[in-house]
Amino acid sequence: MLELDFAGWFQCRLATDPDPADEGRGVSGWTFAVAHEPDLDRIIWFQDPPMRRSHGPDVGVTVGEVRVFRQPQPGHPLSGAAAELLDGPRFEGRNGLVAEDGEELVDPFHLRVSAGGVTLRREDLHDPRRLPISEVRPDHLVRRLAKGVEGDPDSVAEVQDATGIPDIRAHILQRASALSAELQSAGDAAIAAGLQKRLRGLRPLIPIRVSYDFGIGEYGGDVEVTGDAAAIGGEVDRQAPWPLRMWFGGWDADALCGFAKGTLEVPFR
Amino acid sequence: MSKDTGAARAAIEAGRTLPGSTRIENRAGLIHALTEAAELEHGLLVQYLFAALSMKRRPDEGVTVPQLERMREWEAQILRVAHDEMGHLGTVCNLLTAIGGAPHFGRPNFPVANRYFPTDDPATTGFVEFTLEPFSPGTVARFVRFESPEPVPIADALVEPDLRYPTIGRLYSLIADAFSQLDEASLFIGPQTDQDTDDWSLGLRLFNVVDARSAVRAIRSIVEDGEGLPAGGADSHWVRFQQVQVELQEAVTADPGFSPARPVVPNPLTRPHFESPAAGVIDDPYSRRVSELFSWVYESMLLMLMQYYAFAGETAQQRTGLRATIRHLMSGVVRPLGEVLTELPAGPSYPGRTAGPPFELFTDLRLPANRVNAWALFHERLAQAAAECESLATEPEAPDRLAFLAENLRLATAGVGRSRALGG
Repeated sequence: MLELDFAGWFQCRLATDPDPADEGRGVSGWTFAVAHEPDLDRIIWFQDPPMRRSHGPDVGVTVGEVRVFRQPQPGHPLSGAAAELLDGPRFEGRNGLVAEDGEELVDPFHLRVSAGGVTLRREDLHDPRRLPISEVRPDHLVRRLAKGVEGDPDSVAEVQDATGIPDIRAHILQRASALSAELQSAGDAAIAAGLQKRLRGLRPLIPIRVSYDFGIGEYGGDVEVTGDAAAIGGEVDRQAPWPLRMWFGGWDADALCGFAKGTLEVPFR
Repeated sequence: MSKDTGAARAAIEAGRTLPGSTRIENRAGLIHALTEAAELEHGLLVQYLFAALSMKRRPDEGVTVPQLERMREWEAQILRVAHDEMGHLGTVCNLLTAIGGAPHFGRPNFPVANRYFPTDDPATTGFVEFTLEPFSPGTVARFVRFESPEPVPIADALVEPDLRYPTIGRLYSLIADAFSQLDEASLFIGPQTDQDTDDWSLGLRLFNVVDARSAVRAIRSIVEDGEGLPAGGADSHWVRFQQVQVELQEAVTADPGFSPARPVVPNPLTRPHFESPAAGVIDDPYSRRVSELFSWVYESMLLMLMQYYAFAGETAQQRTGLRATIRHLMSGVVRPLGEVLTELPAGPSYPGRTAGPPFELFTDLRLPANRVNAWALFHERLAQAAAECESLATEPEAPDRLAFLAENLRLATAGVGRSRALGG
């Protein structure tokens, strides 16, 4: 069995309750798009988002430690690889119609990890017939839901440790200071209006998380394994689900970014 | 006439209440006044939503980015007040339930010219019109007046009102007086537990009403939210709307051509109604279909609210599911569909104008007494709405959002189906 630990910041420009899920600009929720920014779209970017807000974290989820049969493999081709979510995945909650707060799923789910001539890619379907989400059986949907908000001290400590932001207050003050400085030098009225809105809506990073735990591919979906089995560490099983445990947390509402951390298990035949 | 007959007749008259009454003298009169309060809260909420949803959202609609930023703040303020009004409506239903009345979610279609806010001013005995208007200085001024603690002169009346209350606060004051003065032991005959105190995941504050003290406390909270107590509390609706009014005036002064709202037809409806002859009947065929869908979903949501507040024997899980579906429909269908309408043409009779969310009630709201039938009705109505929305989404003129909303309606239908299956 191959295990890949991954971590890093992702971006998701999403509207929040009670705004409709497809709200483009953000009105009554606590996230919003400002001047010159495209509409909010709920898409989760593990790599290279098309636009970034100033003073936010660097987006990029990458593989850290790689283990084969529990043994660390420092020189593994996938060590340091970029983890990507393909097909424009969105947080699906839809104001509770699909999932309540803290239970939103990532849909579609299609993960790729690729580097050094090795690619592991696996899609997870709710149903082999590729049904729209409104027609998926509830028991199929539920396995993909997040397990609810975790705000206990251990979870908070892990989020703060992973993000490297132990002092939330200092972090928000630093952001406010940076935004204020940018505002001072903003020559364009529209950009200034956007910065003012960000300052008005500035909220501390939220050191809580939601966890996911499911087997990728349980109900079918595309799978790709390229690369030499010896380099990977074994012959990858393309049929058995690939267990995934991960959490999303440390939500930075100003930057519209959060932190992802998890482990992908890839069984060998 | 015997003494008893005279007392009974007086009670009936007070229960109606007497034209121009400034007192509530018995249970029937209190139910009458609370029913009017429910209509008021509902009517205010809908007018606020209509104005908020009418606002422009993009620079290509003829507003600058800095103006859009201010408009977003105004819209958010109005929507926050509308949320408060939802809570008020729920608390008024609890007050009704506590004294043996029925929760009330009906109201006349807009415009309503001669029903609310009758004034004591002998020179201008009249009413404040309830009307669906896009966001404008005039609309905001009307909102300030709705929430004001000060009586204001208003237009001529057509009929004599039952209750005189030149402000909402005064109506609630009459109601609070009645709760304090009527015999408590015989007044509170309603179930004490069959009341809604959930915050609906919207931070709503609903009050459980079991006696005169809790009734007065609930009423005081409603008035505090609106007018503020003492008058003009910093976070009251009155002060918030005044702030919007001031900022809007500044924006208009800075740019006399500033037009923050889409050209929405006031009081849009899909058909004439006898009580609302002044409404604008949408005559673009596609827009009318979308308008009918909007009102169908809105009406379905009200029916589900009636069921929810009726405590008709559902299991706890069913009640949770019903509440969730209602809330999901609010944010996931009603509001976005209302926004969609403000960008669709109103029709040949209104060149250059757009439709808007009609909040139209096609008939009196009626629920079957049988709980199982009621749930069958909800499920069927939502399934029909989903099918119609899917059909509308395939038309050439369909806005992009409709396919998404059709899927949301399918999800809501499935949610009701699951909750329905949980009951006997």
